[in-house]
Amino acid sequence: MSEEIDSIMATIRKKDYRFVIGETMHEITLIEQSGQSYVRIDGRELEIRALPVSQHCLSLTLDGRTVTVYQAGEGDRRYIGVSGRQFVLQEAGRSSADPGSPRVQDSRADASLCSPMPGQVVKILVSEGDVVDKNQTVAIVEAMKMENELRASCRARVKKISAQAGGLVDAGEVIVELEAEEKR
Amino acid sequence: MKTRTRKLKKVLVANRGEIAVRVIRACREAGIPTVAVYSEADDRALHMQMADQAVCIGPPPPVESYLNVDAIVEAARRTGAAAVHPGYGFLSENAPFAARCEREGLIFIGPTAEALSLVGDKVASRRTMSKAGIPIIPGMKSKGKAPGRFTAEAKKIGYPVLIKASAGGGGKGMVVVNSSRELRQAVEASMRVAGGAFGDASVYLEKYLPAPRHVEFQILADTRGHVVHLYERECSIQRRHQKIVEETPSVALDDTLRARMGEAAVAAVKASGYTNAGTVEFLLDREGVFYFLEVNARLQVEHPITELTAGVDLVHQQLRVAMGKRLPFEQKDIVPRGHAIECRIYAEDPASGFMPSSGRVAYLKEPGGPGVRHDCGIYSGCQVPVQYDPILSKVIVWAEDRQAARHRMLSALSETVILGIQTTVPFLQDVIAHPEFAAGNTHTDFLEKYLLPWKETIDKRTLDVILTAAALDADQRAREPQRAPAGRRSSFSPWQTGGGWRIGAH
Repeated sequence: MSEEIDSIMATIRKKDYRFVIGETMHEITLIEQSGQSYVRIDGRELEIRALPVSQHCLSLTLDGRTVTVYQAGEGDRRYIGVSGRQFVLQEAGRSSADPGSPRVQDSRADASLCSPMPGQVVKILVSEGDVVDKNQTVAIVEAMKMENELRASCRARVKKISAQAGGLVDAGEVIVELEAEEKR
Repeated sequence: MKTRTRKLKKVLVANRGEIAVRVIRACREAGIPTVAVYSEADDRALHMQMADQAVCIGPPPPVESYLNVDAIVEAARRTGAAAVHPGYGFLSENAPFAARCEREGLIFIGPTAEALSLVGDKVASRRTMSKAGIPIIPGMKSKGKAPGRFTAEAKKIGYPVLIKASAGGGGKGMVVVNSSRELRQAVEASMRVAGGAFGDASVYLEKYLPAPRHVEFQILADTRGHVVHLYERECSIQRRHQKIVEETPSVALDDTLRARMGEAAVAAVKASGYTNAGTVEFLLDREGVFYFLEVNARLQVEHPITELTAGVDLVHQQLRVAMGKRLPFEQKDIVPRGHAIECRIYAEDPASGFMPSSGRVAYLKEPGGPGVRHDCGIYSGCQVPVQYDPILSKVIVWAEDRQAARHRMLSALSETVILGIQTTVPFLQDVIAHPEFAAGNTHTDFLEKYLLPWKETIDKRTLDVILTAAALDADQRAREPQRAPAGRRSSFSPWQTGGGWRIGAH
């Protein structure tokens, strides 16, 4: 009996994934069972067939309907294109081994400042080791003639300065790493 | 009478992006060698790759590169360029630049410096047109700085009125005034903005037309006195005075109105001594009355829709006129066919107030098929810099009628894949799909009324698809041995992105 169960169990493979789109976390499970593939999203189970076309292109049949999907990306950050639209999906719950990918804030102590838009760092107003107050301007980023002041969201210590004045940054790129401080 | 024509033995394109690519292609077709100029931010740009020669003219800021007259003239001298095509924007309507080219013995592919000066001065050109019997928007015929004059003028025209900067456009310094009480303050505010933006605080006053249609006529004039118009373009879909969608023909014109406006456009060009390609802009109010607005002394972004319906290559015609040749057609030979629509694709995020988006284009797939044209300045793997106008490309479609053109545009947009930066493609899909667009109700308040602010919506099916695709990809990468991560700003590398799927087909 246990042999039968073992052989049944051996043909099911499940893998959970979590992605952040915008501000929302989504969960999806990939299931492979006896040569068939499924996904489970929101408690629904859908049959899938995937035909790779090229490095960037996949023909995906989901629940009986086929669509061409495009992908590109770096590390945990994927750009998925379908029907002329693009979605940015950030894989969550894995350690960021890729130094190029933007940090997802998953710890409350991490109050790091990211650039809201691609641009050029005009000025960094702090040094490593400084303690900054809530709403204190920490850095200024400029793009398309718009200036953006980045302020600390809480009282924090400057852990590391990851960009320099005159340097170019992308949206979401960490400029100053801050660690929240307890108020004394 | 024999009139001399000259050859263009080499053309320097003083621009970048999609328009530079367009001009380089036309020159290549005509057998004319090309020189591209580029800033340090564009050192791998498509336009500089396509030209026969390329010269770096400075650091990224426009004033140090694409607006750097000395550097451009020097590049022309070094490469032996005989002519300069200015594209649109940048130096294309800069009379001192045109004059400098003339002094240096470079053929400026456009109007003369004198004609540029005349049409560039908004108030002076209103005077010229008025004298030529072309209807202008009721308003002041001279610019001013004394607020007192404005009161009398506004009373004569009737409120609402519009205060505008004389030295420049783009909506800067424009203030709508609804009553005499607001007038003085509005004039002062407008003068402050105008002084700051253009270095000239002169403003003037016009009747304000609420939500008009913006209809412009393409013209071509050779150096022998022949002027033709190539019919109209409807450009009413605008955001902050920036055009987004253009089409031809305009649903608002019947044949009579079209003919009258076309004649007015030709008359405007003749009155200003303008040569080469240009556009005469009109405002059309809700009663079908049209008024001259201004002359755009350059090849415009939206020129392709005219090319597809009129069957004329406007850049080739520009080159011909610059060579001193006669226009190869007369007005009666221009018979437009079908309907064309253009959508401009900007590197902007429509979901965050159209914030500029720059960075690396991780992947690009261009739309295709019959009647689909893509004028594109980017390629897969290229860098989109922050310093310039965010236009990436234009999708232009032609079909037998407006309905077919609309469907073709929706299809083309859905085939367009640009990954890695935010673009306005999904926003454009919503514009073209909107029932009011289908009905042809395109006035300059179209976007405010029906589509702004814009939010991304993801239906359940799309969400299922993208999550599945992302999960399959992540799964695939997890099974592969670790690859060296591609740096976001890595310089040219033959292996542009990682990832891929190899989930077995069923």
